[in-house]
Amino acid sequence: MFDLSSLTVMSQQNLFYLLPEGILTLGLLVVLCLTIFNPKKTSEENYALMQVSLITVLLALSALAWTFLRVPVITPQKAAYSSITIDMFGYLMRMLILLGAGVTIAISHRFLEKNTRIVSDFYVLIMGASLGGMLLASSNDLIMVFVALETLSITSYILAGYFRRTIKSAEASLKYLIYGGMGTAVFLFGLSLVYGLAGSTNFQDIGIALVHYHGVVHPTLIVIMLMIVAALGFKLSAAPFHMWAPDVYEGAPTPVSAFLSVVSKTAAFAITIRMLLILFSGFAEWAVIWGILAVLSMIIGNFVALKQHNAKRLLAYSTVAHAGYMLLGLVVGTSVSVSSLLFYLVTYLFMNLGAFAAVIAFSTLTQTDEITAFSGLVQKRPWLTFGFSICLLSLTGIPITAGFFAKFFLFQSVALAGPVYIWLVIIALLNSTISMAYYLNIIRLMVVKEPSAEVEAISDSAPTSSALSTALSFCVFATLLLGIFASPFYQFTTLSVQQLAQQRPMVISQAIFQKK
Amino acid sequence: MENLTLLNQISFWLFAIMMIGGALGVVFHKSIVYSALLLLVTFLSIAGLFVLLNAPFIAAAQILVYGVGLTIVLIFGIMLTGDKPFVDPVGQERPKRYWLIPGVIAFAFMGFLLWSLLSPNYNFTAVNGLFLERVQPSIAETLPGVQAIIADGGVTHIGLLLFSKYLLPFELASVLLLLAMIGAIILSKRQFPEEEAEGEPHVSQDLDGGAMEGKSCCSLNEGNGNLASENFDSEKETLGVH
Repeated sequence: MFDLSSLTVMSQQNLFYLLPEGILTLGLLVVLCLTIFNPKKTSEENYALMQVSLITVLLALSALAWTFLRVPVITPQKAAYSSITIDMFGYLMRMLILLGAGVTIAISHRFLEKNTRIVSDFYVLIMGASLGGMLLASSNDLIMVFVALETLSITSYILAGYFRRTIKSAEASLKYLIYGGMGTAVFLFGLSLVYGLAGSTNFQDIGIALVHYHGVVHPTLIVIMLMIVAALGFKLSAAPFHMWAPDVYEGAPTPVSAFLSVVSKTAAFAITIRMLLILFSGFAEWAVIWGILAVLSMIIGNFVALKQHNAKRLLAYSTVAHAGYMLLGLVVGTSVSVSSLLFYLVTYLFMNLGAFAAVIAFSTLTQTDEITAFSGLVQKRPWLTFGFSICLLSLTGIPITAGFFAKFFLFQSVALAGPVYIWLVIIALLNSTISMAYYLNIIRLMVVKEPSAEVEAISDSAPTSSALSTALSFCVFATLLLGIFASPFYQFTTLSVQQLAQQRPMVISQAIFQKK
Repeated sequence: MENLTLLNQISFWLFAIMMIGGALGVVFHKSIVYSALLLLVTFLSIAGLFVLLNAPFIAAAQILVYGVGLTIVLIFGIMLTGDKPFVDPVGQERPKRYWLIPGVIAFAFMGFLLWSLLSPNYNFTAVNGLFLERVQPSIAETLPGVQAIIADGGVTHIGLLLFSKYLLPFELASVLLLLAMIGAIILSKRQFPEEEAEGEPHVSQDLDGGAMEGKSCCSLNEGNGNLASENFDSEKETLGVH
């Protein structure tokens, strides 16, 4: 039954494709060793460790590009005993996760130096979380999904409590741990029922086994759906599973909030899309559940964000609202809408990271995150104001920024899918209008108002971290670039979704294409 | 279940009753130490059920990981949390029928789950068998390969699976454990070498040896033996605010 010789033949397992993950693991260990063997680090040594981490992530990114170009993925490949799928969707998601990790490392250095003495372990944890996220994004097996999700989650709990002497950080960590532990338990229960129903942990096998249940409203499947939606909804911070997000985003160190809102969410979307399109592609019931979640997230996220006084809390509710917009793509589930969702995810990465980077830059200068404190920032730091404004405009969805095209593609694909979905688009458009109020309010404060006491106190000689400003510029540049040259990226997302569709069990994929 | 012998059936019901009784005890017992010990009863009964399901290896793992490891850590945690008896943490302020709504939801969900699991076209293969894929258990147990698996408790089979089909998750789990260990050290260590020189700068309110450190590390730090009770008070204060 088992051929022992297969253990030795690693080359058959396409491990070549996992080179980026390997580099990341290696870099993680190197930074860890450098941290352990040099306990009393100077500021310069910490900076050097940050550079090592950043180089590791960049190396992993180039390895990703190299594997992608070296062996073009024409059809989806399996790796590591088919617990990993290598396809363009996976490449896109892994690229986003690595970019998010790189930017997080770059924006966190000055902030950490200012607030804690234990700096370098932060990078180790960020790289570990990204490793989990990358494997999660390309996993093809329930066990792989679970272990990768746990790697991502547990490191996130630790990161949320990284400022261990700050009560809010400890509170954020504990809250996240309790909610997250519950989510994990529910997810695992759901996955065990999937295994019970299908008799396999492999996605393709499960897809084929579940074909028998198409058209049958089986109660176990409904339980499974509810459990998986609850757990993934928690990770996506979609309402009503968003309760943790504001407290965690506010209490956690700001780079961690940025990381959670972008990388964690990207990985969660990746696995949601993959499970939905490959495992459960023949079941229409999902659409209803996701629809409820999407509408709730949009409405709760936007309305509560109107009332916020803290910039991090506001961004937390804004991520809930954006999760709602993105879920619309899943509700419809056509290949056009899913590729629009992916495009939205790409732009969301840059604009949200940019916004968080600006908040970090501001709070390192003034030690506060209150929105009123942003008043009159343009007089002291015009470029920071410019970058933050671009990101906020993009989050609102104003033309020439990427956010406009992301919203445009997504809402258009939803509207074109059928008359039933028009209502969803109307709700989404109304919500975008509401979101304008709180995003533009910050810009108004920064540009129009007289400087606040905190802004007055910023001295002109206050140093700005070069890594932070580079990362912010990169995010702003990417946001503008995606706004102007949207179509090549959009084509890439379309190709990714096509490759996902190829992995469906044959019977279903034909049915879907007929429906379209 | 039809091929269980009488002894098997008696053991099954015994373990099942012990498991559910233990679980109820965990929830309803007023003393947290008794709750922890009743949790041990639940874990051991689950291990017994694994034995009945022809999975002795998983039963052993269950006893080692949950029965021994987890329970002992839990009891250590309780011991280190404070010298006061930890009875009914919420105290008198808890409304009388606090259990009603969650209880109803939980039982409704359990009913739904039972109904769904007992629905006719549910396929029980994988639940009863040991990594048997899409074979009826009654047929499966007669297959020669499966009998070989059952004979050695599935250890060989699990080992082969861990190092072939599930190699990558297995390797990732090692990275996960490493990261969790780093995290535990970061969250609980009293003072890092980095902090010795100038002390940690603070963003907002300071725990001053509060919740995180007090709970998990007071036995490890040097020369701070009496911290446990102090921290317990400050922890209550700080957590009471939020």
